[in-house]
Amino acid sequence: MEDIVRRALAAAGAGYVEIRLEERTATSVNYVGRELENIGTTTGVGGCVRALVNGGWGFVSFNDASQIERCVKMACDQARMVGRNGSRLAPVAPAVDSWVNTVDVDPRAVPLEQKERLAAAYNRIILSAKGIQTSNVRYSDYHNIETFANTEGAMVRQETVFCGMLLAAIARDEMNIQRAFESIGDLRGYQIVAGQEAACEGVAKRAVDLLTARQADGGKYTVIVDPKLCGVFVHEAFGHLSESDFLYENPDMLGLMTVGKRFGTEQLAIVDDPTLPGEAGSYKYDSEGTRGVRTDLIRGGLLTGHLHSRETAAQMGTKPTGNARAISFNHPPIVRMSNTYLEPRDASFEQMVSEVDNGIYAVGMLGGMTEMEMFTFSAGEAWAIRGGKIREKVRDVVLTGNVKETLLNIDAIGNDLRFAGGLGGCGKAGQSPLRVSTGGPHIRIRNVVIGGRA
Amino acid sequence: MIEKILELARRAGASAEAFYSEGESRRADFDNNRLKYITTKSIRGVGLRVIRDGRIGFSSTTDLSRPERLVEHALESARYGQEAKFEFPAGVAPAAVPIFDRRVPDYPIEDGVRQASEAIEKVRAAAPRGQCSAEVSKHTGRQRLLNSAGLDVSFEFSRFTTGLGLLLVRDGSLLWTGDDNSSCAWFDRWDAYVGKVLSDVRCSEREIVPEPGVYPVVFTPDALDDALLETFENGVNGKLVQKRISPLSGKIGQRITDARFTLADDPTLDFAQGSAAVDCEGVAARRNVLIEAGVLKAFIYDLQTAGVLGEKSTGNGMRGFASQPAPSTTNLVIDAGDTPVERMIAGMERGLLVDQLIGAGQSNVLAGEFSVNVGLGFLVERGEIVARVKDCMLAGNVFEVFNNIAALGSLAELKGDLKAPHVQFAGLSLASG
Repeated sequence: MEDIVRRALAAAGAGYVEIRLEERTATSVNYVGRELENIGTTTGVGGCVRALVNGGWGFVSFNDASQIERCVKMACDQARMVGRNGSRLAPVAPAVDSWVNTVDVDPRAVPLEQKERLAAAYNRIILSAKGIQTSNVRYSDYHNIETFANTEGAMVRQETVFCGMLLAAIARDEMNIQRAFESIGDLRGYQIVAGQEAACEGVAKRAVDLLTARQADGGKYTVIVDPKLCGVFVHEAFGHLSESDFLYENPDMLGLMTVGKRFGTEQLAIVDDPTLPGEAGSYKYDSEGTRGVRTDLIRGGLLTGHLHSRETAAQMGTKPTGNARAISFNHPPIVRMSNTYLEPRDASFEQMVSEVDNGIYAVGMLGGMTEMEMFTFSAGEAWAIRGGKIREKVRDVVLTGNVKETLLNIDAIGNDLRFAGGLGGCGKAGQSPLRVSTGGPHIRIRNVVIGGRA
Repeated sequence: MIEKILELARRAGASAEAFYSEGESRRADFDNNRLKYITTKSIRGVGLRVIRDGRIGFSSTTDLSRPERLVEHALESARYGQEAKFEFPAGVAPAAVPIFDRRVPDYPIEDGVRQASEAIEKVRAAAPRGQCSAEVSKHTGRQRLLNSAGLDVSFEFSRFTTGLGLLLVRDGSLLWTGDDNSSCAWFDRWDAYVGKVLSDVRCSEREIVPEPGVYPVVFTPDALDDALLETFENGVNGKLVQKRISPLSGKIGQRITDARFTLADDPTLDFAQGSAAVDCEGVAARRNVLIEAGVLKAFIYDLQTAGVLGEKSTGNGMRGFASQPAPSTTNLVIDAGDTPVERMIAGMERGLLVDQLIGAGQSNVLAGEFSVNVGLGFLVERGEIVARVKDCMLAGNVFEVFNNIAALGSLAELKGDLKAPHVQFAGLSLASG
């Protein structure tokens, strides 16, 4: 593999050229209701060439590696066509390295039959709960070998083993259809999907309970969010604005995201860190061969950094952070998060709740998205808080707002940091899902708009 | 190669179907007013579905050098797979639908770059502080479906896509607007995109946070697509009917919406994005009316789902090579009504016109619940657009609001895989803060 890459790079003319080759074997087992909808192993091979010539980018992807030299030429021609665009790369020392993420139990050593039995057992637990109409239980693992090389002399081989599981339940009472899910997944190995019986019972109960929950009234509330939802919020609402590909040619946006600007109280700190062992968003090198590093995005309530590729770092006169990531060989790397979290402080959950007169406790999530400084994200389940106590369950809690105001409105940060990965991932610019994790403790936010019927 | 895969599977005692897909796309991307990337993707792969001992197995690969491994994976999958309720079809009479336009491969990407640059210049002339993005993409593909019953069909198709976007920051407030289209035929819509973007800029000069309350709301076709139509797409999907989670199951023949509402799935529209002559498992494509004059008429099926439910495939077995077929809509068509959109707006004392809705799909889509942030929408007072609305959410239930239609637009234009008019709903809840 490495010889093919070296030969192809030698064929490149002027400018910068990089090649990524990928081999992937993926196994999945998917029950939907009583039926096993999909089971088995798929394989894929492919690669891409990215060229930077005279400040313009060209990109070519392929499945047929015998075409690689033609693709190098094509990428360079396309880059020339773009031309004189001023794109540059910040220097990084060319890495020659290989990395394998260590797992406790390698899913490749587990027979398909055992994976099927595990999924079937979880599926039975969910389906046997009263009020459950159907389920979605999906086991998924993959083994990925990525080889990266460029004309600066880098040659990096990374091997990743991911394993995870989706547990979803759908409850139904006539036209009232409610769903709940739990998704786990990271780089630790097969053992993480074992022993999830209680989680299966939990999602089934959640879906059934939502049938009788009352709909939240729209309006402005003090909201306490749990660690999972806190992580999603930090990723969706703030994290994406830290991605410099979106900032660097955009003085107005950069104005909103200037280093030194206040985003929260002294207590607020937000971090992106791909070096955490075993988390879903961890890696040693990004898809440009740059070593991933911990980046403080907010510290002491002040904006302290952005996430960078080599190109955005050059444009903004700073160092690459190793956040240029591609979901596969079929896409060029773009600036992405890795493991993004809000640092814990010392508030206890009980204390936070006791100080709320009229609020919402929002737990987990069904989804989230952001457009510029506006975000919406929906809680997996929620309860009303009145008089300092958690009361009845409510549903269809969709939180929305402006990220900066919302971060400034965080008035308590808990002591119970947790990370969440999962089978899903992050989507950006047509590249989805990218494995990431999000993390945080319980936090309390004042004045959050909850959508609902007025 | 594909013949060999099929032959290997047959020798192992399986009936089999190979779905091969290859395509080359070339696109130019503009970002922050400048041409940024030219990209070529040349992708191919094959999916193999087998039936052995009455059970379905599946695998896929992009590594065509190892057919034995693909067959082995598919056969292993069939040891556990679900019971097959169909047989691979032996023949098909394809629908007569044009999906390949020679002008797409023949159009030089350099010309696309020039047209996009000119459009960006026009927007920038009127909004100098704006940051434009644009996309020109051309794709040609070939698919071949081969099965052990003797079916062997191949199709060539083209796809042309363009888009123009504008990001404008004014006093710390962001306006993000744009327009795009996609078709199997080549087209030139740049002037229309520029017109739409500049009109949105003009209408957004004033911004307000509207009072919470109940408003009449006009949805553009894009907004319908963003927030409401997924509930119908899910509701008529045979797979969800099979799993008994479609809110529409058991409701065939019943009135479910306003009687002016007619919705069809139609893969036979000339050159539309979702058009096809045959679906991805060898069943002829055809128009299916889903809701007619408010009455639920039909669900959509692939072969297996239809088999399980004792129905017939409706020609909606869709897939890429890397996945098994599943029922999916092709192009959605909503019949136009008789009210020009200008008259809807002129007739509103106080209401909203919404174009982009954010966060759909997060609330309980299956049940029809929606709660969406208004990304781009306007307040209408006494028949005039007076301001862009900010920081507000619309919420309701799809089935309720489609029984509460005030007017249907008189023009339904095809855009991508949707042909729909504007729709005015009588009263929707708006929350704001």
